[in-house]
Amino acid sequence: MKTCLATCACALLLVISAGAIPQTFLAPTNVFLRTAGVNFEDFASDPGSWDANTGLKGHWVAQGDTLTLTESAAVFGIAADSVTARQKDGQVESFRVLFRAGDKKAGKPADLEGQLTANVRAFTGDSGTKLSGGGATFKYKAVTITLWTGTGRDVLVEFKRG
Amino acid sequence: MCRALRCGALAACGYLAMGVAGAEEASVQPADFLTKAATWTSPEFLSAWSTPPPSQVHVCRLYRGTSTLFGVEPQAVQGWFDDGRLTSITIVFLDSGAWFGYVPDAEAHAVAQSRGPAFVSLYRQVSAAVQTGLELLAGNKGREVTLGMGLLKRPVRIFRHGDLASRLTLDEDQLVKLSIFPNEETASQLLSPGRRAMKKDETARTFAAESHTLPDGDRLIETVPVIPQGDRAYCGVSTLAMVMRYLGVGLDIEDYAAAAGIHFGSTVRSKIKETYDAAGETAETHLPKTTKFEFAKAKASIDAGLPVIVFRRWSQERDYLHTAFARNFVANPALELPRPDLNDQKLWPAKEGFAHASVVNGYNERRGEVIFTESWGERVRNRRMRIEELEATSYLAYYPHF
Repeated sequence: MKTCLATCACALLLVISAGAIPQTFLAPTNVFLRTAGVNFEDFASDPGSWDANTGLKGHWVAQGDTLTLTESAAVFGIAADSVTARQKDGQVESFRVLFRAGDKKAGKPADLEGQLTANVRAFTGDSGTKLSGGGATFKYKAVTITLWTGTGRDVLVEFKRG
Repeated sequence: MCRALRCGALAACGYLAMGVAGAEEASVQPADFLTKAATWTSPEFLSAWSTPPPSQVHVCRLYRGTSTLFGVEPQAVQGWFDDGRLTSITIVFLDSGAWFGYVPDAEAHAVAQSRGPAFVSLYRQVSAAVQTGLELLAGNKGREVTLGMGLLKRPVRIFRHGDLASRLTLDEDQLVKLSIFPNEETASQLLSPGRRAMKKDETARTFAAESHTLPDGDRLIETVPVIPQGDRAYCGVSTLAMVMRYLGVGLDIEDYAAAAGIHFGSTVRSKIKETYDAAGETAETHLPKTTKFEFAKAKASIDAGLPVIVFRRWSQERDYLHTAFARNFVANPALELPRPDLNDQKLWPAKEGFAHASVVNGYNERRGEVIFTESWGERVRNRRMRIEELEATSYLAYYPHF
């Protein structure tokens, strides 16, 4: 029996219609969730799931010591523009997620930094510590999540052990 | 457990061209659960349904077994349980929303042109197979009755087969659905036996008793059933189905979608407001609406044990915050949502945002929060939002009362 009417494990998006009629469809922009079975931030916050012996969930391509995620991922509820992992001696040391600021038509919130900060706070339950050079750090489980705002209001989020 | 198809006595007689291979743990003959009331209480049959959510009384559960009935593979089989007792089974053989999936407005015409004829052809095959199979099973053509009010008013066919009865709903080029009940009387009514037995005052008292205050100040209705909408453009009708089921109306999401004219997966030109009005009439309740969520009205409604439906602007990133907060709040009730200041308001979904519907089934006035539930599954029950945010992002709200 088809089970497509069962509870949706995938993230759900909704779309505007002329009559503003509520409706729903599956999000196409979070392939990582479908292939890995977990949201990227949950995966990245659990170093036990990405140590050298475990292997990384999802599909990655290596270039030197940098691995790049080849599939789309929504991280903290926002479509990421790139997700990379830095490794040393075959062991991942950190993940970096880049969000490029864009207009609303590109699906990005107007206040990218504000939205990401609010969502990282909600995810970690940590109000965060501001960094002197801008940005903030958040503690969650076994990782530190650091959020920086770069040029052109792009935002970089890093997951690192400790 | 053997998954082999087992033929029942009726099938052997040629009446029932169907079979059920149940889940690994259960295998029940279709003739039995369509014709024998005793099957509905058998441990083997009951083990084939999805695990019920904890502490819920009125629960919609999915049949986990594979099945072919009347030669048709259903899209979904749902069971309604009261206090663990199976009270009805809904078999959706064909629903256009599930078949087409979500169809954006801009693609509605093209999709209807390209895939519509195939669906129409399938509808004819499926509706004929189910109707014929049911007539053979019952030994007659059934009895036509008209149920519902307004846009929900439509003819259905009532059958009796063995100890049980069923209601066949055929909505042309839209829906083929069979609901099975313990008896013909229940099959021929939309209001539940409990609702029908109550006088107006008693009804109001009964529902008011469903609203209670928790030690943390939450005022909550915890017994609104969650009915997952699936990958369908159905949040507006799913929330309606959830509230109407709570009020004792035995209609399904697909009935409301058909009434609203959500056709071939598209909500273009659908009549959702008229369908809400019809549902209110059918439930014998008043269903007044406001053009934005008003907390005072919602509070009165929830205090009376009556959940509120809100149409609101939605964004994926804001939804993420509500989801993450709900998850952490369970472990740490001291957590607070962002203050609704100017910085936070900038992050609220704007008018050009997506459209969504939610059920507001509680509030915590001290914390300044509404408690709401989505039609996505139990995991999104009792989420929280600042009252100010819901008031600012809503564009329609319904407040049932008797």
